[in-house]
Amino acid sequence: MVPRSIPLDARHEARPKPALVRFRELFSDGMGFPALMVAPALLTLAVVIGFPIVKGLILSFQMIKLTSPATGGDFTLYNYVKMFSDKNVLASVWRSCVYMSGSVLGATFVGLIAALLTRRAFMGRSLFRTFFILPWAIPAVATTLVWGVMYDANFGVMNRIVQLLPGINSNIEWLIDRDYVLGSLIAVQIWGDFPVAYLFLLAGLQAIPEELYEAANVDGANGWQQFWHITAPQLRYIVTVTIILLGILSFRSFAVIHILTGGGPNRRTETLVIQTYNAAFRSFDFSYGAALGILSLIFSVVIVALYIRLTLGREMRGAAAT
Amino acid sequence: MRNLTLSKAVHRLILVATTICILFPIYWMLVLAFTKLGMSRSVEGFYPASLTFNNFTQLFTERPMLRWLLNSALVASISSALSLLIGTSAGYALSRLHFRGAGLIMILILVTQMMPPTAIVVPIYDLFRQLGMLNTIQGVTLGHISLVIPLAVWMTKGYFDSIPLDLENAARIDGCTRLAAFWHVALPLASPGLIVVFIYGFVTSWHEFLFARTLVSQQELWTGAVGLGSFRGEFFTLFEPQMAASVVFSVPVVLVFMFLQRRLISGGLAGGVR
Amino acid sequence: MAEVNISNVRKAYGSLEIMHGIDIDVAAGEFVVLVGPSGCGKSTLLRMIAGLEDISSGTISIAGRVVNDLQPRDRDIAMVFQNYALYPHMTVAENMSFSLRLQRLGQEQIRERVARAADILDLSQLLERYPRQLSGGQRQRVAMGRAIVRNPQVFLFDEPLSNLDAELRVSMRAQIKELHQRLGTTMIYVTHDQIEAMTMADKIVVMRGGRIEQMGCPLDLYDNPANRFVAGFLGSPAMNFLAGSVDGDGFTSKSGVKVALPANYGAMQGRQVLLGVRPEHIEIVSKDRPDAIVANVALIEPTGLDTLVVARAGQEEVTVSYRGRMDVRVGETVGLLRDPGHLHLFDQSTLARIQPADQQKSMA
Repeated sequence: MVPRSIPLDARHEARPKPALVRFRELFSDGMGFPALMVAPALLTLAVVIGFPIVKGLILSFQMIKLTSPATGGDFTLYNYVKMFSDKNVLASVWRSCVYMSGSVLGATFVGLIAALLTRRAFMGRSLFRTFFILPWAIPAVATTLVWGVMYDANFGVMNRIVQLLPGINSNIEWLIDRDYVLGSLIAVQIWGDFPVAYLFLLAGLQAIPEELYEAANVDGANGWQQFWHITAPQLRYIVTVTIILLGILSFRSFAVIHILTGGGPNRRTETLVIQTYNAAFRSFDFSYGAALGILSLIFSVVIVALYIRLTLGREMRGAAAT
Repeated sequence: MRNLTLSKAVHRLILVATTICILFPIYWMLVLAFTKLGMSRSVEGFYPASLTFNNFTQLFTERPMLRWLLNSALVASISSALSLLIGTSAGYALSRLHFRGAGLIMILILVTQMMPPTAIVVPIYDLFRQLGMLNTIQGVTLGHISLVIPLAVWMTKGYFDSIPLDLENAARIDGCTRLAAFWHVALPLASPGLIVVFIYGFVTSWHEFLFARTLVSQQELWTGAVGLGSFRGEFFTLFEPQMAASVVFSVPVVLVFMFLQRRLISGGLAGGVR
Repeated sequence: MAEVNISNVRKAYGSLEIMHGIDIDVAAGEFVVLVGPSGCGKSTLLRMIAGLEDISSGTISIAGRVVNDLQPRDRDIAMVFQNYALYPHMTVAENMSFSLRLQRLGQEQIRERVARAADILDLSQLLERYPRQLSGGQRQRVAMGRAIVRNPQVFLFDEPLSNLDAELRVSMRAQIKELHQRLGTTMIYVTHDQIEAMTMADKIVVMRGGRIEQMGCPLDLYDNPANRFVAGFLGSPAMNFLAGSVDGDGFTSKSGVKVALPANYGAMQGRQVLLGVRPEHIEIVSKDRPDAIVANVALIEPTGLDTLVVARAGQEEVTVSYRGRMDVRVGETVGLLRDPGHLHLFDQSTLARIQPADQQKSMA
């Protein structure tokens, strides 16, 4: 027979705890616990990001140039006045927008094609899936360099490829010709970024219940109608998120442009990010570079605000609905 | 029935065409990496005319490629490990504890993750110049931590969100403090995810170019990403060794991605969508 | 063994109050079931007792000690969760011994206690398995094992059987009840299933919308529900309700069905009421009997053990539960005869039970 109750050995009595124990429990179990957990990350972020941002703000209101000794730390609005009257700034903001839209549209399109091609099971699907995310694994620098080699106007393979097409028989100067250069860079950005779109859209596609397509089949909808009436509406949210993330990636893009053209020829490919870098590290005008940095920070805050409205807003609405 | 085979054939055709387009740059990278020095200019078709392994051996004999790879590995493992250490506890707190200001912290971290690094590279350079931290491995590592921590916080938060809260409740009833419940229950259960976060952080740092390029000018302190660019001269670029270096630098990450594909993908989505 | 006293406990999120002053006294060794529809606050209340939810005001005490500000680990309780919450990275033995290891008991002692609990729950063969290798019923038993090795003052159960299939649920129900009789420990059990509540409880607490509707021993609640909600919630098939008024010698429903009332209801002339009759308190008789209500059979559901007949009298639909087989057909006209000893009247506006003028007499 089993005893009525398992014997007790050490039932702790409700004794008041010593002060040291109570202090320790404040952080391991009480009000102090969240602080204990969050503090390391916040402190580190404050040091590696917060502090530089503050320092950047200060710099942007000074006149610090590495080249000229006659510069100083006195407060000045000069850099901001310069920034708003500099037509190169407006031009580079515009170029950033063009570069972003081109890259985002292209990467989303390629990603969607790839996702549609591998959404359903077939022999060798996982192999193709690996192929489609491979560009993501390759460092942007290496990607950029190989495209640079391919784009070489005299020996590059790109000219040989396009000359397979009828009607083209002269070499194109991909990275010099002002009509081609931005497009050439966007192609590289697309190649490096589309795997992100691919993964998100594939996940989105696979989350669409198969019954919807079965029902549509029964109703006699053809492939195009199915895409338009089932796939597209179901993917809307994930496409929006993808577009914003891709937009951020291409907005931040540095290695591709810096290595291939450095912003040239004649500033044709100078985006805001490149202009910031060039101002600081080519013209050595640190204060102006810092001011441009603040401008790009404001841009990204706007993008993040958009992103949050879409994702967190959706989450909160979801939580409120339950 | 015929309709079905036809649509299958069309599918395969587009699939193969897309794959060729996508893989071509990688293929071309390999072709040139195995082409004799200076011979890439005379490659006529779309396949290698001659094969050589010289470019690879040269990387390690005539250039400090090994040094660059080791620098990359050092910077990447330290910045990713530290970020994981620091980011995990914050990710846990943001997932589990509903304290004041949690939403604001998440948004701030998101902003830092999304802003272009050029926004802070200028002041960081200026700070490091004043502190004498230019041209140090620690400096680059610190710069990379600023990129990886936000990623680590968001991704670990995603993993902790996927662990049922009642497991920690059960542990707290069983006699754990909140800290002990985190340590004994949440952390071991999240550990597969934390490995994924570590790999993402590692790859982010391994790929990073801007900080590595600006904060260090001494050749022996370069990371691989910067070293790759050194084959470009003002007037003349050594295509073949450059491509060989690109291959060597890409291979470790490509291998990791191929072997851990499934886990990395779901982890990346969790970190990205949320 | 310990008593649990919950007194005037409230919970509010900002200005939104979701618990409106709960008072429950659980005697030492008692088996109390909190039951109610989802969202009634029963799980929240249990979590408040466990210390997993904060209390906005009021006090909860266990064994005479106010535990409001104590962490869950200091309350000397054990809890079985709805999804069991077994630690996936620990074996069954490790799951069960986790709390003991945290208390830093000796190896030998831990082994002994785990073995004894495993023996009680028939888990001895499974000690080295991981939760993912167990069936639903086995996991459920491990969750209970983890609770009983602690030998706590109070057991808390949060819908522990809702993830099991019907057959297993019935046998686990019996096991838990047997465990209670064997250990004699105070148990507080949350469920939405009124059958679980009826069969297991020493005392049932029916909750709705963050309030207690009624509490007491199961059969008392069944026979004397305090209001329409409790009457309808306990019992399956549910009690029949007819809306109407008291006039003359009885009750007249809106569509004119007349039911005679015992004399002690006579003082309620003209009052708007709900008449409640449990399905087992209606008899099907020949339509020719003068005291029967004439009705049409709309639906017959034989379960084997008993037969449910849904009949329509005027606009009213009445469910009758009949022990055994019955020879009626759908569409047939029958007579319904209510058992005069088991009528319930509820006020139509307050929905509270109306006590007959002379309770003793009607009960007799």
